[in-house]
Amino acid sequence: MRSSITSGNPAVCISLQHPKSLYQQITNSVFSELVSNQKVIPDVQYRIIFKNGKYLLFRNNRQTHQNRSVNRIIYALEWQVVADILNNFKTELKLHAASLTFQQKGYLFIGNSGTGKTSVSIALMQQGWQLLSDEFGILNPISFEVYPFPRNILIKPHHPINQIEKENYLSIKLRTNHNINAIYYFPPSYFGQTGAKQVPLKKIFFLHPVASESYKIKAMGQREAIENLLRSISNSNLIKVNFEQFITNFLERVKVYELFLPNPLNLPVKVLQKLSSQLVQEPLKC
Amino acid sequence: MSTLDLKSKPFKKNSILFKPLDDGAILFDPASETVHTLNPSAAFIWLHCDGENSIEDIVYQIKQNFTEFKQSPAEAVFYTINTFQSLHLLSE
Repeated sequence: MRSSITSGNPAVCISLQHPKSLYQQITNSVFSELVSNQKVIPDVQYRIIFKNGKYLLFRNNRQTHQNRSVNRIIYALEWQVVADILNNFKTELKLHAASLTFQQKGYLFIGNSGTGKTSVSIALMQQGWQLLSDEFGILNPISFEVYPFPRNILIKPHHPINQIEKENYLSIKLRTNHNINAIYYFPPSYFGQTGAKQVPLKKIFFLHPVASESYKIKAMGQREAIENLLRSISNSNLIKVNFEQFITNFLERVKVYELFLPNPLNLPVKVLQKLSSQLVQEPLKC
Repeated sequence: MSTLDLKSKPFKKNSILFKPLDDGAILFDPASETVHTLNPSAAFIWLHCDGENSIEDIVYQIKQNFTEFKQSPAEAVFYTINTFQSLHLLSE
């Protein structure tokens, strides 16, 4: 059976050939918003076959992985496809960030793992924001537009999602330092809408998880904002050619804040509504 | 320039890009492709490293324009210019 994935700018077309029995898992994997039955002229071809009790994964006819677990092989497929799509954004900056859009304006939420990128994405989607990506912020360094990359959302144990709901979605068990955790792939549409087009970036929020019951927003000075931004870009070599122009445009177009935020999924609805409207305020009153 | 004294006249490399900010400045060195962020007093010192001002002049100027220093003004200027030098931002 064949499936295809198309994403990126310019679009990268990926064909998948796999046993029919894997169709459901593949469409429920991170690509639920991207995968289709359309025939494409592929830039990259993947093939999964089942042989001698193992799944074998091939990329352009070269075997890259083998595993007895179907989830493991789909997990391997996922990360290779993510790399294919990200690598196709040759002129865009990549940041470890959640990106969302509200009324055609783009917002980046930057933070390390565990700082609440996914939680803030889910919470704001429930307030009418559209998800562009919950893991990779993709930013054009000239136009300052943020591009969508609607992977599935990875739900980890600390996300307060009903276990019964979780069982409906593909899961994979990942070993961390102390234990083995199940991660579930939820399609973004489960929580709200996704944005399909690039939008101009207006604000960046650096996330700081806090234990308090209320959130706080603080404007960030230009120097600290630049230091933090540069630290967050994984391919900053792209901006070194026109560094001055990049910094000038950044300072003119983007406002930067620190967001001290308790788990937004546990915030009372009224507080979440207030947060949602405050984040898009022009100018934002801290 | 290897040893700094009050009569030394530090001279910033022309190739270093300087971008003023509301709260300091950034320097970009295209040769090493590195970015350095400066607080307001370091940015002030950088602007005065023009080959015309001696360190003594810069110390005098900084006393006129800044009031709070962690060290003495002279120590602050020496420390900052030494840092510029170690980062290869100044002409030899």
